Amino acid sequence: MPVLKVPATIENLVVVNKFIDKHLPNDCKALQKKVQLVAEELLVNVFMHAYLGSLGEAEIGCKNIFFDNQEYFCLWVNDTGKAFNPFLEAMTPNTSLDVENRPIGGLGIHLIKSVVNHYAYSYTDGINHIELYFKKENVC
Amino acid sequence: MEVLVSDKKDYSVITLKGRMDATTVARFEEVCTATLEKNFSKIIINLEELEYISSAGLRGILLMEKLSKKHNTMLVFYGLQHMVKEVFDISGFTAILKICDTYDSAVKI
Repeated sequence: MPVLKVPATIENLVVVNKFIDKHLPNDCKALQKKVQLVAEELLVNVFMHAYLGSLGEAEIGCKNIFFDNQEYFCLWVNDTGKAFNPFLEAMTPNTSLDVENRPIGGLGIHLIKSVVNHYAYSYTDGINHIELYFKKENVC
Repeated sequence: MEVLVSDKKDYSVITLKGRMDATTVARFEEVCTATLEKNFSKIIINLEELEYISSAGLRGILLMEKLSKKHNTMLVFYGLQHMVKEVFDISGFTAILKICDTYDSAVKI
């Protein structure tokens, strides 16, 4: 199972994208930009908020999963920052507001929830672990 | 991401090529802010060769939209690729931005 560990800084998005391109299965190439999108949104969250100003690391991996009679491609991200479930704690944006009334930001987790088929979060032994699932039959 | 600017008589065209993400959006903001200072009535933003956008890119676009109101400049986007269109749709940006299919229709709006 391929795993990449990087310092939690924005500059490492380039390294993460190369990792995704290299390990995305051939039957999932159509997912490339969506996988890169959710990886960026998750990692920017980790880079900006998980370590409260100190330098930490993020671990990224991917795997194929057979779950309830369905094949998925799964991207996962670990960090050892403060416990944070973005799917519960991030505010749900109001996407119907006009330009004047729209707050800047807050769309990252909304994008993740919109493009993946399933998402999961756990916090165990000091590790935030997030798994994002893409159903293969729909998109590959 | 490559950001190109071409000033016409009555408007300016900003062309974005590549990926607008957390590492590149600052370049767009910098160029668009400078172009807004020229006080054209319209800036056309060519997205035909923009293949990827994330929430960081959306943040930059919204920031420039808000700034454009202060300059009385209209931002018009055209040439959205599939991925960019999908992200705009999910975020509600399709409804709040001026978006055209082609350069000609962006010029006429």
